Amino acid sequence: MAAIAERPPPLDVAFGDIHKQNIGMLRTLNEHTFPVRYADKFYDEIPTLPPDFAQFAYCGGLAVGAVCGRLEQCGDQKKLYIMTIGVLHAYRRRGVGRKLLDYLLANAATRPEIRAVYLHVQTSNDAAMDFYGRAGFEAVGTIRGYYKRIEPPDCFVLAKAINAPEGTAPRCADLLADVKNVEWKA
Amino acid sequence: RRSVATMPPSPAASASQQLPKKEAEIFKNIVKFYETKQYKKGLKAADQVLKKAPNHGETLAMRGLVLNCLDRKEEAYTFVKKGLRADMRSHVCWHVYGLLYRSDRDYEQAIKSYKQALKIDADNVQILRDLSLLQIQLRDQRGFLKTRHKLLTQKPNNKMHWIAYALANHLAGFRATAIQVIDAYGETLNGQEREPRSYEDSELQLYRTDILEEDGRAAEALAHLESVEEIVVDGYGFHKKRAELLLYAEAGREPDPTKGPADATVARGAWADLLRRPTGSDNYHFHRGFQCAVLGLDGASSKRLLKELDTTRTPTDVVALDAETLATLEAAYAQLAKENPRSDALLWLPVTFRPAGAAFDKRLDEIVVKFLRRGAPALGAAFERLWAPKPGDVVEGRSRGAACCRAVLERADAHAASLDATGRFDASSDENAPPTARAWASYLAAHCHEWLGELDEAFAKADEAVAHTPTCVEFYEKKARLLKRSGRPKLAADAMVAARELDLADRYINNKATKYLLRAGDVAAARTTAALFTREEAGDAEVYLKDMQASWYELEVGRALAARMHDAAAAGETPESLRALAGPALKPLCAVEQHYADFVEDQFDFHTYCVRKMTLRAYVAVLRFEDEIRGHKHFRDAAGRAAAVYLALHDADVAEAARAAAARGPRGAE
Repeated sequence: MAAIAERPPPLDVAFGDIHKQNIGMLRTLNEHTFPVRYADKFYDEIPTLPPDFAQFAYCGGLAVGAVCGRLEQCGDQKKLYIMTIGVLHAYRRRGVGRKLLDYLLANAATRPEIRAVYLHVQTSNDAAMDFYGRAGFEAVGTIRGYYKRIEPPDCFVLAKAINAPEGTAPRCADLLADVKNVEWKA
Repeated sequence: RRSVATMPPSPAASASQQLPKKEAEIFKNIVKFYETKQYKKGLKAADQVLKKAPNHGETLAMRGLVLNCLDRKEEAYTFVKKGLRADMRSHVCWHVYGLLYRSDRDYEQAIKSYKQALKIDADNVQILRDLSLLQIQLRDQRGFLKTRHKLLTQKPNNKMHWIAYALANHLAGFRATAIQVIDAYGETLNGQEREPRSYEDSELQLYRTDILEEDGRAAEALAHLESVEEIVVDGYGFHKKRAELLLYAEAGREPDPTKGPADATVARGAWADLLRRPTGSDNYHFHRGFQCAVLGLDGASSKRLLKELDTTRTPTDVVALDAETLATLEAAYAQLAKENPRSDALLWLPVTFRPAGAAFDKRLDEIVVKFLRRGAPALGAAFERLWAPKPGDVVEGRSRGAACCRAVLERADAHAASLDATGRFDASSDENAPPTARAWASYLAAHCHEWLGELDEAFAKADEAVAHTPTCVEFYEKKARLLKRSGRPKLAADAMVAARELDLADRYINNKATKYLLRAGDVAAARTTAALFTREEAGDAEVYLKDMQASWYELEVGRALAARMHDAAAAGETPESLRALAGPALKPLCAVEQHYADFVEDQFDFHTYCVRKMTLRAYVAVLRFEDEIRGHKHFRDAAGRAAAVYLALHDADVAEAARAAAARGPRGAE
């Protein structure tokens, strides 16, 4: 009987700020973890993000992962957009990504004006779908031709509602109404 | 504070050198203003006197002295010389002349002036004091001794005169006399109210101990040290010196069966206690002393080894161990390691003295695992001590040289394979190793291959490490280093710059990138890189680096620029064009030379300060350090490179002259 691969124990992880001095490390991380290449403009923005939403994950003193999130205004509410979460290949399946995501969500939970967290995932990325699914995210729509240089070019929009006022259960699609080009799921 | 003699002009002065009462008062003020640094007022006062007595030598001289303090050097010398011509028999004029020379670092002339002044006023304490400072600065030990003797007889109530006289005797080699002086000074204090534990008493007694030790009287030194334990306040210094003296005097050797192996003799226990101090187990001087005690070496050998061995070298490197001694050493270290299980050095040391065999292999592996787990870049460098024993080291029966390197490599590879297969270290059953260990295993293997000269394999392993964890600066640094070693300095510089860009706040990697750029000949880029860590307010980066006395940087720049000149010389360029290249190369090299001149100059103020503060052991150590300071690698390097540049210019001139003569033909224009 094929046994599910035994997961090694979770890694001890320390967090650290991302700033202009170590942004080069983020570039390197991203180059090794994503098929997409981000422009210089992207890296100019990162050091301006609040440290609550942008952090390195360190293991044994070395940066092995990072999360970058950006706050976006949505009427009188805010939503948190996850730009990147990435973990180096050799350090995956040790709970590092989950710790980064939990860090982000915990910080978002302390700000009641943030009502939704969302991100894009390439339609072929089953591992990511699984990862976010376990964290309570659901696919609320699709964007065709989102990616310009990779196949498939389409992505899902994953979202999670947070800080819902007592007694309400808002639909993610409503919270993300201003996101463009989405074919909303019925 | 260089105060000028305030005694009135000597009675033998001519009539024109006597001042009327009013002007004499103003003259006293000039001296006061000088001493309190109110130079503008001093100038005014001097001019007031000179209006009435334009040829008053001492006022002219004082005016010159004040001008010197206002940085108006040429005028200063003019006035002082005028003053001297007007009043040759004034010790004040000569004294001031000496002070002027001294401020220009012209020590020989300064001494001459002071001696002239003393001819006129032989017992002038202030002049004698200034003379003594110059004498010790120039290491005129006999002169210094004579002057300090004079000062002591002049003013025996001054405590510093006694101390300085003892020092002078010590430095001139009259150690027994130095001790007598210290004891005589002690007698003068008898009957006075003394504090029970004063820093000064403590330092003086420790200094006395050191003199006894230098005089070869180790047993007396030990006895004296132990007799003053109550008054010594430097506990660390006391215990350290006691442990050393026990070795030199071959004392404290009786074995005590009630104690463990590390404390079996008093001598051993003294060193073991030092090792037990916080961070004591990292102190290799303590390990050296401890091993001398455990090995039972004689006093002379202990003294020699403690002086000659440095960094992490130990007596076991040079002393062969029989089975019994080895067992004792093992037991002693085992006891210390049990007491302090977290100490790295106590884990490490047995691997430096164990013979080749299972016990050695086991400890080697334990060390590799511990540091792969922790992620220590310097692990390979630490092992190099075993791979490259010095001539005269004991290697018989020990794992050394390339064989030892291959043993480490085998472990690195074995652990890498095991981590890939099971996530655990080789032959280990315990919890999972951190993923970082896999990368460090590749890094260690790269280090071993590099040491063995197997650069292709080293590159492969370095690439493995980078592929595993591309965010580690050390892995890129290793690749850059391998590129340098394989003779590709430009690619090496690129790689080191890439490493730098991972962490712009890391000064170490910035320096490395600067150095590699200079080695690749890209001086402009190196300057820009180095400037990133200079303070913005400081303006020009190179001026800032010169102020910071960054000799390593100046040497590398000088080396790179000199290379351009040497290349041009080899290509046969003209002496003019060579000179144009030599100038910029010599500038940083001479800056290094300037730093060392400054280091020597810097000791001047300490001649008074240390005697006053009674920090005598430190003071003597500084003097001895300064004696050999130009032996430092940076200075030798800079001097050698500068000389090579000058020689190349000379050779070019000679060649040019020969060419010109040949062109004129055999009937050359004579």
